[in-house]
Amino acid sequence: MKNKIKYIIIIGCGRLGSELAKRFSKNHNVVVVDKSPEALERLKKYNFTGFSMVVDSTDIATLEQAKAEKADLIYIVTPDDNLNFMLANACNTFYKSKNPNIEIIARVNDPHKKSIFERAGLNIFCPIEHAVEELFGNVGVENEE
Amino acid sequence: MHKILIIDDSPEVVILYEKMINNYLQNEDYIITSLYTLNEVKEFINDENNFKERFSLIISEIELHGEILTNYLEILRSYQPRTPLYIVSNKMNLNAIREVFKIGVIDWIEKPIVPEEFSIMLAESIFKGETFESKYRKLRKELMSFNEKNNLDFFILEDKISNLILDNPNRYEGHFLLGYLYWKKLKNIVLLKKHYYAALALAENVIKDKELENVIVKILEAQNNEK
Repeated sequence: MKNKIKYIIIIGCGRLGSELAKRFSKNHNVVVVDKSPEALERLKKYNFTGFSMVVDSTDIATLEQAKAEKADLIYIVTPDDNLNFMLANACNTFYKSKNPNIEIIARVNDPHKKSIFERAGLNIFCPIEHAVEELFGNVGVENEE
Repeated sequence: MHKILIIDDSPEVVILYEKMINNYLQNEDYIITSLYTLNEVKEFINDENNFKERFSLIISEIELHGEILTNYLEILRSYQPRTPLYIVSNKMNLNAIREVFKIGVIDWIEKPIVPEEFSIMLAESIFKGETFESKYRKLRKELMSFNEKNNLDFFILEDKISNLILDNPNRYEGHFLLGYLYWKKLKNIVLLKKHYYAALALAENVIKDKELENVIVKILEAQNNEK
């Protein structure tokens, strides 16, 4: 038996979460968690295959229900930075010791809060910073400056 | 050929199961039957052709669109008593758990099922048993090389063939082998006839193993001529 399939948990099913879910579900076992049933229903229209859980992601028990200790990758991409911090920190504290191979990536919406996440030793993804860097690196824009 | 039955009302979950099965069974022959509604389950159960061969694994939800499946799973179990049946569902309650374990469910796995749990499920079902065809070939070979003077071998072979019949009550091959075993060891023409005719009825007169059939037909003809 070959085990190529990864177990990926995505918390938050907005534009970013649903796009990640759609891409990863082609080859992996994906679980998407969101408190809004409508967001998860929408996901099914995008050829998503996998599990979806309507759960209040502010509840820490969500991680247990999604079997976070078995995950290979956890993406925490809700629009709420405080919630993302709390969940990512909980994953790091509870599950990283049991399963050091888990990769946890949290979304930081407000670039000013980036350092708090970094101080807690969390892997982050900051869409605004990425967008700014891409635009700033653009040669045409730089020349105009 | 492994036969796998999946019962779940979410197509996106069924497709995921199919992907995982495809990943783990890359070197195996298998066929998947998926049922999404209670009506499909009822129709499936009512068609006896579906049970001519043993299923290697049944993965089922406990509910389909809010309707409990326990009674139908019990019927499935009675048709396929040796097939490992797993419930994958997060609609857990004490009554349902008690009832499905009474039926003989191997395990109840909460959704979302993770790849590790899925691979264990396959290891305990698909990779544990052999296919019907391989079992038949093995038993046939044993029967052909069987020494009639050895009583212990006779009882062992009789037991193995009886288990094949018990596992696959709608298949003719077990009766075919058992009849010939009784002739070979006991020279019992009544038992040979009885099992050969049972095999013919189950096979609807189409027996694939022509070589062994010719041997049996010649024995029966010789007996008739003697009379």
